[in-house]
Amino acid sequence: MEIVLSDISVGNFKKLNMCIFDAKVTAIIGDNASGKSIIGEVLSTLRKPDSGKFIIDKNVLDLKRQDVDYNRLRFDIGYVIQNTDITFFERTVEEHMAYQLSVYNYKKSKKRIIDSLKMVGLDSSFINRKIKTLSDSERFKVALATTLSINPKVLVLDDPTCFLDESKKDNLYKLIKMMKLKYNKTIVILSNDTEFILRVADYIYVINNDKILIHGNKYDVLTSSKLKNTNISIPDIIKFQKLFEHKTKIKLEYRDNVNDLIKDIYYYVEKKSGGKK
Amino acid sequence: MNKVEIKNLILKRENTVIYDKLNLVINSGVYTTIIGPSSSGKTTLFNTIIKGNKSIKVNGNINYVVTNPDKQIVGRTVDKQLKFFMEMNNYSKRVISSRIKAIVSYFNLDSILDKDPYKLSLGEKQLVVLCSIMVLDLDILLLDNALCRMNRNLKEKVLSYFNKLKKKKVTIINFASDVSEIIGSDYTILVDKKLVFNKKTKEVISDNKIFEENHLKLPFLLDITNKLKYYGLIDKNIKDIESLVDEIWK
Repeated sequence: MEIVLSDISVGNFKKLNMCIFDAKVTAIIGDNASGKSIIGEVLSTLRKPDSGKFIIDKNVLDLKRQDVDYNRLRFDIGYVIQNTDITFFERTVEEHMAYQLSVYNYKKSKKRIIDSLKMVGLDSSFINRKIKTLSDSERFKVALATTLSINPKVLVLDDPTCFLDESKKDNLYKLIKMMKLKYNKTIVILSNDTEFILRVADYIYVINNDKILIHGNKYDVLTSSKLKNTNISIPDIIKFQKLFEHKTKIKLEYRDNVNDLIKDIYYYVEKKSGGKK
Repeated sequence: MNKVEIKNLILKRENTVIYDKLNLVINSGVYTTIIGPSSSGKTTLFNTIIKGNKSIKVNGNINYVVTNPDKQIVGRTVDKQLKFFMEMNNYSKRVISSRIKAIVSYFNLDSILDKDPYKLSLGEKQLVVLCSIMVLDLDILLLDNALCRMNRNLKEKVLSYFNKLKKKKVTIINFASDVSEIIGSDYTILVDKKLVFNKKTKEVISDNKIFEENHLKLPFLLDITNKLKYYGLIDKNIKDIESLVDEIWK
């Protein structure tokens, strides 16, 4: 599902324009105080903008008109936050997910619950586990499965890597890739973890001082000099490639992993030394 | 002085044993990084050292910083936060002002001195809390993932500040979930519900297998230097990205 925000005014944002591409991973990055979370709230329909239009798969949803059913979006856009469900600690996974279905006026269906759990790689034995006995990453998967059970076309993930260690980030990376490629979900990630974003995202928006500072393909954004005046950290691999370009005057094709990068460097060093190395 | 000695420590969480007879000695003026996957018992060990245990012998005072900065924010402005612990310990006015001056200029805190610490970003909060502890006369400094929300540049700056503290014979123990924090430390300890290894950081860095065997993600600089060495493009260890590029393109 493609979502276009057109001339949206909300909070300190004036006439915000943004496009979330269908079946792609779009990352929204920015400091804590940049206003990034407001955009998250708008996308997840927790906050209604003052004015502007949503264009969803070419259908215009003008917020000025009274008869627009803004809340309907909630069925298409699923919002996943980490470390939630604290109030439901005593519940089992099944009870928790059934409650969510009832909120959305869906019939309670065991099959639906089990299917959603399977999508995130949890087997059916999990339905009887109590939420409080789950590990952090299992809890995140249950939160994701709960959102998936209402079959949204878009998933909004709020700071999913916060408090995850590297091996768990790897699992999350695989999970997001599967959501995108196997289930054709459109994914929005709100995060500051640029190393992770570099691996997972297709498109990046950078928010700074309640404005879009820069947006584009992930390599174009992360190599941009506009990031210098922000607190956003550049992934080491990008820093290295920029320095390499600067010193050698060779235009690299940017890479997000070391193995591909090494092959390129090997090629150029070999070329420079005329095959001696 | 400034020594932590753990002898046959047995630790339980609920009903499961996390550490069965843990032995560990951390000497005075040594900077150690303790890494391990999440839920490997890092924080449990950290808390046990702070609270004290009959199996743990500590020489010297412990000062510590926890991962959630909100728990240690006491000042209404950054300036007051930085002074708070020194004032509590009756440091003289002259000492307080000279130390504040030094740390403010090192970390460029000028622009946020009058701000409310609660309104800072998480990374900045962590920095301010850490600074308010680092200005004290330290014996032993314990950190529980206290740098986790700082961005890379800031983290490197903090890690190089630790070397300043080390010269004053401060013993530093940094419990970290980010493996790249080991760079610059003297010793690296890996825990995963037991002591997996306790080695000189130099040895750990030059050995790829240790990372693979323990499912750790190699920091970028180590990853790429090791691979470049394998292809014969460079032949020595490099300390930062800039000199790496120089070394490849001689």
